[in-house]
Amino acid sequence: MTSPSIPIRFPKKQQVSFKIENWLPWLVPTLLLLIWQFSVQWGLVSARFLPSPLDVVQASWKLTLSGELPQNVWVSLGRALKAFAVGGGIGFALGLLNGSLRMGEWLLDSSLQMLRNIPNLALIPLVILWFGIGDEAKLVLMSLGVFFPMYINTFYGIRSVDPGLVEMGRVYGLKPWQIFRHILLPGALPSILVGVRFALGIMWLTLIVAETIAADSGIGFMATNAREFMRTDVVMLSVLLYALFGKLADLITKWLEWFLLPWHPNQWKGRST
Amino acid sequence: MSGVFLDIQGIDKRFGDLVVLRQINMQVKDGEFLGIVGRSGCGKSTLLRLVAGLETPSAGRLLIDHQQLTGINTAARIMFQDARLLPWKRVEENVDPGQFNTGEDVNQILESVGLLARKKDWPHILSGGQKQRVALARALVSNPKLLLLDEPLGALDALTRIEMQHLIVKLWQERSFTGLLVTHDVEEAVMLCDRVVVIDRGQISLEIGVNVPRPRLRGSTEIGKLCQVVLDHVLSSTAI
Ligand SMILES: Nc1ncnc2c1ncn2[C@@H]1O[C@H](COP(=O)(O)OP(=O)(O)OP(=O)(O)O)[C@@H](O)[C@H]1O
Ligand SMILES: [Mg+2]
Repeated sequence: MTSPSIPIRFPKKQQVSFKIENWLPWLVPTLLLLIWQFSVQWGLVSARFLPSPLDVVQASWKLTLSGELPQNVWVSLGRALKAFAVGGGIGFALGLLNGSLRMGEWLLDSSLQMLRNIPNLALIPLVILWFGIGDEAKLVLMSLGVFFPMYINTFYGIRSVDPGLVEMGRVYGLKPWQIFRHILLPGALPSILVGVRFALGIMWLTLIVAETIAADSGIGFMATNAREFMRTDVVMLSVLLYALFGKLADLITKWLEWFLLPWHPNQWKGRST
Repeated sequence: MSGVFLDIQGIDKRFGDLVVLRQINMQVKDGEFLGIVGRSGCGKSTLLRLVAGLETPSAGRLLIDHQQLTGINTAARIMFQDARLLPWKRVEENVDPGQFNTGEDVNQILESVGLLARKKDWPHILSGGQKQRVALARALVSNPKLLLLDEPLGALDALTRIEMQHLIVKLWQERSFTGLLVTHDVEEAVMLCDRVVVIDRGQISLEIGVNVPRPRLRGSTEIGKLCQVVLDHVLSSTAI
């Protein structure tokens, strides 16, 4: 068999990546990074005041080798996950409960709505008085911060499901739990994921504040500690780490949306099936 | 398979001060297909919702096979005026949201409404008429004894409409369920039903039997005459 001549054609993706709009967004950050690097290197800015990007990279390398960086990142991540599980879990459960059962709403919703108006960071002095400055205090503070966006968005998510669909479910013989499972929960999911996004944002913010004010481990502690020794490179590294984790959280929610809401018309811009 | 005997005895329905239905008395025989026409807002959907058990009558009783109806009417399937598909379920799952039927049944009914090829699609990419057809498939898949259709073909184009009318009649003849069809289209009611009632200001103002053997011919004089009678009556009724 003679092999047919294959016309040379780049796959679409590859062609796209050469397009100007794909690399243009990187231009300004790259330039800024270069300007930063060279202005420190050439002594335009004191390295004590602002470490160069390479200094930051070096610092992170050293701290990784010494085990200090992985240790602190691990501690911070652990706190974040714990708080998210506790606060988010309770908020989600109560949101589902009060959203689905009028009784629950009457009993709890107005109380929760009142508490919602208290910013969780305003509770720092009280929480320190009650729980000291240990991990418990941080857990309480962060869980509270995560709780409300999860609760509110789950509650309203359930409530905003088209009553016509629930009615359809009843006529078509669905049991209450089936109505919950097949109609209320999926209908509330877009709103619940908005709650997750908000909750993650608040979680990081609270984590940063809590670790900066009082901690003996974690990324925030690393930064405060470094400040005392004038190690601006480590301070800068901590800031970047927080940014990185914030971005990561954002990506996770995006991925969750993509994965859990394949039916959502918003998802249909870049999807094939 | 068969239908149910529906006996509506002196039903009133009020929403607050608004009287929607007044002293409705009617009986629908087992396996009969009844058409309900009337002006917009005259209470047709409300009547269907009462029969489905989604509303409770303010007065009177509703008997299904001589049993007073309380709560949801489990013998009935209603096809709502809007399709009410679940956006997060594919077409095939929408046809059987409670998962009471076999995949075979689902495929078969999708085939009859001409949407078998679309069974893996999400509802939001379907056209209005296709959505209605999925809703029709959903209403029919579990062989209800009582089928309540609230303007099922309102969103369809003329051709699909005729096809779907044939389909409904065919399935009704096969399965002999009791049917209630609410429609704006007088000709549709006359073509499909054994009997047509007109509702005017919450009351039955005309009841007329369609004693024309099936298959019925759209242009025939008998059908034409009956349509004219019903239409004249509807037009002379009061607009709300
Ligand atoms: N839940 C409700 N609460 C208050 N009023 C209602 C309710 N449901 C229906 N109505 C009123 O009852 C009247 C009849 O409504 P219905 O939906 O039965 O009309 P219809 O004959 O189906 O009209 P259309 O042909 O436009 O669908 C209307 O005036 C409507 O506003
Ligand atoms: Mg109606």
